[in-house]
Amino acid sequence: MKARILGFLNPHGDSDYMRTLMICAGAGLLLAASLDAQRRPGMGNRGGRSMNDPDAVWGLLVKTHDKNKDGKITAEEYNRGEEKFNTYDADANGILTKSDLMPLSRGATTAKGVAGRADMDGDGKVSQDEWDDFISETDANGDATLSSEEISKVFSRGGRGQNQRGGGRRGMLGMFDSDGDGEITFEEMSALFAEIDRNKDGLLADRELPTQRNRDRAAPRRPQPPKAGELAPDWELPSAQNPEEMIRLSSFKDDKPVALIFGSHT
Amino acid sequence: MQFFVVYIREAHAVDSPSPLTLVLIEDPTSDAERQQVAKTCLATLEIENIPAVVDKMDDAVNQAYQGWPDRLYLVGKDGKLAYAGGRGPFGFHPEELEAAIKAELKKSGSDK
Repeated sequence: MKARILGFLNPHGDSDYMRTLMICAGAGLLLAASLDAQRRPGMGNRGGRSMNDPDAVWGLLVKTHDKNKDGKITAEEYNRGEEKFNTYDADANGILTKSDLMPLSRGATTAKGVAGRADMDGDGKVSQDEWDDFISETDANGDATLSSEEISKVFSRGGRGQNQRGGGRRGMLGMFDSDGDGEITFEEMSALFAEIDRNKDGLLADRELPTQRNRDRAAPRRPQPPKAGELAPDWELPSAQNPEEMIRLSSFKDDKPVALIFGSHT
Repeated sequence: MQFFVVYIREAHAVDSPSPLTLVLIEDPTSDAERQQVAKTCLATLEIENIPAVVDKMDDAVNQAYQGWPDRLYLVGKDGKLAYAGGRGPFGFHPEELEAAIKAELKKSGSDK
């Protein structure tokens, strides 16, 4: 910025002109700095409203709405409409407390941004099982940890391996690596699920997921695996030991339980 | 109690989107080729005595069960799934299958 301003300087050193220029430059720098602060990474996104200063916002809300001064704001006390109330109520428990305003960690914010992709059955919710499957899919080489390449392929917006603002690939690894050992484990990703699940009901749903518009941009639906209690899809396949022999799953019905171990050599 | 290894599409064939070089295999392009790879796998891992079936090149059974890269299921005597494991590696828990097998056998009162 400074170089650009200096470039405009009147070479004859007209002092009024320079003074005006310096004032404009100063104002410009201040504006840029304040815009930058608002976009500073680390300030999570709490369901659509970006909170720079949760303490200040909570202070205002309490002052305005907490009629009985009990540190909580009920829907009745808050008289500015249900929709606005809901955007504050991050854990969807019908009461506003300061914790509703606290942003998610950077890792959880990023994970939440793509959590819609984990919705395998398209029911608008992400269960712990769907999340676990999603993490397993992210682990392309199956070594039970997520590398920065695996992470950025799946977790960057648009899924094209774009670098997340504020740190590039190393930054993305750093965001998820809560114990700082350079490896992202299944446990660390599970912890992110728990953090995003603010109402602790075991599901990511409604305000715990990106807006519908963002969800629609997510990866296409994948077929969901059969669940316990459902009829096992029947099959008829050649035996590996004797390729001439065809084996049908349903031939074991009413006879024996059948354990299926899916896998390959690599 | 019946066990089947269901041999499916390679997880990390060298010419796949997620290649690994621990075991060097080119992605089979025919049923016969996959059967050969499956046979080699069972022999190498010394599990030839576990009955195995080989998915056809249309990957139909893999798709139906979302078995890739690996996954565990238990089909009950009634033909319904008594246990449906998560997708591997994170969801692959043999101890869960074991518990399900024990429960299923107890239910039917036999040890078959």
